[in-house]
Amino acid sequence: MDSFRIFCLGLLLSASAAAQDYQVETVAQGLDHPWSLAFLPGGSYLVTEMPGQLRRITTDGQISAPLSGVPEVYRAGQGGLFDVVLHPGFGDNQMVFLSYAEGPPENNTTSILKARLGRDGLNDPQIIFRTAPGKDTPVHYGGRLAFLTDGSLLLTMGDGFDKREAAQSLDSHLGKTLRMTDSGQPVENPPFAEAPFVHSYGHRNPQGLLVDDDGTVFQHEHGPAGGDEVNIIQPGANYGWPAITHGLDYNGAYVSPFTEWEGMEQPLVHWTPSIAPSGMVLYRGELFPQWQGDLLVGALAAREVRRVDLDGRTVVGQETLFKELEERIRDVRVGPDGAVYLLTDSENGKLLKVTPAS
Amino acid sequence: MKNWLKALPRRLLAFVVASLGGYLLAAAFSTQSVLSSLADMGVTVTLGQRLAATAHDIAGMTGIFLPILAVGFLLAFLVTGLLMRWLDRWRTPLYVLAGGVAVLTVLLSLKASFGLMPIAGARTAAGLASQCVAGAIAGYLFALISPRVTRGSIKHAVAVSFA
Repeated sequence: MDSFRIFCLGLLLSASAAAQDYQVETVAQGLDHPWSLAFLPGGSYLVTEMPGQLRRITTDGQISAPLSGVPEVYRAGQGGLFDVVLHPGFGDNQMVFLSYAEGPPENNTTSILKARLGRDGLNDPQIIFRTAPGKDTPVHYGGRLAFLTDGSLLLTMGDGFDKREAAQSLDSHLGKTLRMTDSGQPVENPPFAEAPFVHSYGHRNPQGLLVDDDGTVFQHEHGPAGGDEVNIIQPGANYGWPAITHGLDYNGAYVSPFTEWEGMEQPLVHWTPSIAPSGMVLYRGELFPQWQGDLLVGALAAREVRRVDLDGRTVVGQETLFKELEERIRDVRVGPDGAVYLLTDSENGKLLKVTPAS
Repeated sequence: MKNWLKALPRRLLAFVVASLGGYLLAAAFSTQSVLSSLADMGVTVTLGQRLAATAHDIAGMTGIFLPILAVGFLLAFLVTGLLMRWLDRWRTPLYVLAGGVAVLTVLLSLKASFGLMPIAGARTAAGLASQCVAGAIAGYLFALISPRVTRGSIKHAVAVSFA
């Protein structure tokens, strides 16, 4: 019994030590449902807010007025302004890309705007891409953007909820990872000649996307009641939704009685009950060597960041981080300084910076 | 009032049987619609898997779908019961209609509230129609089991409207 008590005490001490491994600093607050974060040269930040504002935040936490040139977004349900990413050649061209929900309600799309970032706003804005066909549901927009190492652009697109079968159809952009040039044109030699924008399919509502240094694409997607997934995206692969899933419909019925099927990919990891993943980064900084090469996944419903401990491309463990914040985590990023940055989802959303405890 | 109280257990029985019957059919029809869409994707479902999935869904949807349907049927049968004072000769068709309209109203109200259809099997016109058929059969069961209303005053008709 004594040895058991000592073991338990040891566990508590190690948990306490782990809890003190980092400190969390509020960089800025008062953001209206912030969705995405990008790091600008010089240390300032760009942040999108779902209602449709793009703001610049200075290194000392000053939040700018909304930048001009942002298109009108369709703010309904889960719709609004989504991602902001910098062009790989941003230092030379100052190009930024925004994804957003675009109306009308009965024919809404997830669209991409390309523009040049000026001092107070966006210049030369061009809408370079709209998903097709439009949908009439105000949910499941996907909306994450990432550049591949070859300079092409990926966009995740949700299934529109009521249109879930479209995720298995190459005729529709719903439920897909889409790939295009930085001008919104098809890339050369896409996996499907008849569907030149489709990079992968069989997705539900993907809202986490990253490209590792070696070009590996990680994506995660919301399941329904359970069945959240992290996937490694391969060109042309089918990730199964809604033919296979580990989740149930919200009403308790099957979406499908199958969790696997020939020709459909299995997730790297899946979560039931759902954590509602949003935003993801693969840690490659220097401040947290214990997290090196691991996925950090934001979670809205679970109000945490889930660290997925990777050994290469194999999941060897998981850890809950930042639960004490009691915040819905919308986005997770690693800054050029190696710190972890979080965006919390609320009317008083915050930009938080996590560094090792001093 | 004495007769009304005497008939109450049978009326309650009729309501329970109608609600359960309507729910069982609605859940089963929804499952068949979902499995049919899987087949269209090349995912074949054996008879055994189909039966197991149907049983799973009937059990799984009791927490949400059954109470919502029961409320819909309750309101529909109450209103129809009021009409029986004047339209008693159309009793069975009216309850059948009431059951179908109840399900249609419930599903369209949910879609209007959430902006999407929470019952997957009702997303298509054919699927929605099958749900209404389930409701209509619930109405038929209610008309079949519940005791008939005798003509009387409006006050009496209100008192026995749940008939």
